Amino acid sequence: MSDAPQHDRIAELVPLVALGAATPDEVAAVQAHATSCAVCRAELDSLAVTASRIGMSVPQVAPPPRLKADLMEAIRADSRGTASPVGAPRQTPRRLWPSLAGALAAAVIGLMAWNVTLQRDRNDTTALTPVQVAPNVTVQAQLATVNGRRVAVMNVAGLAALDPAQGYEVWVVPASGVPESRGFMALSAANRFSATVDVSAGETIAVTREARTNTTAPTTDKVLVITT
Amino acid sequence: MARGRKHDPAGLADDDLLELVGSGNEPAFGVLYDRHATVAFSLALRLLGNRAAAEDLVQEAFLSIWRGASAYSPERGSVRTWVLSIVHHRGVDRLRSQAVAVRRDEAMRTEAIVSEEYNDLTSDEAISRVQADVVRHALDQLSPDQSQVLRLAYFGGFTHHEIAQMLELPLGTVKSRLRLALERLRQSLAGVEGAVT
Repeated sequence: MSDAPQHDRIAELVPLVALGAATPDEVAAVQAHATSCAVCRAELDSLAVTASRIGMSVPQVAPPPRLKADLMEAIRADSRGTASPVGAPRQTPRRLWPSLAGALAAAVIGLMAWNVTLQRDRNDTTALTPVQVAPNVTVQAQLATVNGRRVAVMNVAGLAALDPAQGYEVWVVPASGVPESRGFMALSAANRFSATVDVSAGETIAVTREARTNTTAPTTDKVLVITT
Repeated sequence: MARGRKHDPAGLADDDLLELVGSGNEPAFGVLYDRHATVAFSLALRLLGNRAAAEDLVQEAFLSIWRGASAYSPERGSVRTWVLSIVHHRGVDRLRSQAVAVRRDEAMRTEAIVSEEYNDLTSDEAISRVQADVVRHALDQLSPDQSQVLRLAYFGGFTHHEIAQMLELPLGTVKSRLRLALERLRQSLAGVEGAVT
């Protein structure tokens, strides 16, 4: 911590590393600095725990029972030092790492390779204009192409508040014309909803109000339509 | 400590289970899996968007835990957050290295799936859902701008540079929003430490 400007610069990056939103160079810089700076090390540990808790917020879905059976068989094979069980319905892990440090290293290596590709494949962001929108509803939507992924980012204000049993469901309409559900928009603040959706060229995005059941097709009028 | 209770792993705390797992105790590993598989699978599904990939990711993560249980440090959070951090690191790694337009149909449908499964809640699943509600409430306290960048970073696997480009915002603005969002989340969850560990 003897170099205050260096410390301040690194400290600014700590939250990004905790979230997994830093570049490989930034991750390396923070890790190197944290080995000698107790303040940044403690902050990184603390924020990493907070970031991990974000993962608890997702809707809880139980894995299939056979996953445990496969896994228990895999660890027995691992203990025996033998190959993974033959004929298992799911393939066994391709790469194994002894610790979280190994996992982080793998993430960093993957990130570096990904960033190289990203620099080559990156395209510009373009604004998306709704072709249909309900009264009093305002929409900010953009389409970004990143590493081959076309991601529509939507922020919608002015939608009516709903009871918990309902939500605003996002549909993507491909060339076949049959809408495919992409789940419900997230309520990010009072009467503000947001969603990110992977879309292919020419697909249309529509939003309808639906019950939070396993709806297979839109049942109400569209509150929003965006062509991509 | 786990010593002396090796025949009843179901009654052990997570830390003690990990101690047994580190010595190759399969029943202890099975109990550990039962406690955290749902939250791990849910995150994997949300990140990768399809069940097959999520199952592979969870299997890989738990096998790494089997092999590296000694890497866990209680000072750095609970076993559950440790498991989630492993799933998240590996999930983001896959998102970035696969370089494909990951369809998120199933992940986005999980709310409907949860509704169908509410009838058969185990106690561990119930705890997971309470924790999910607590964290979701904390996330709801973020401003829309903060929430957006946080979700893009954590669930989308995007770096702050990419987020800045996607949203056409200055890099400093994105960094600031991410920092403030995470700090606010930490403060919100600090008051509910017992519910979310």
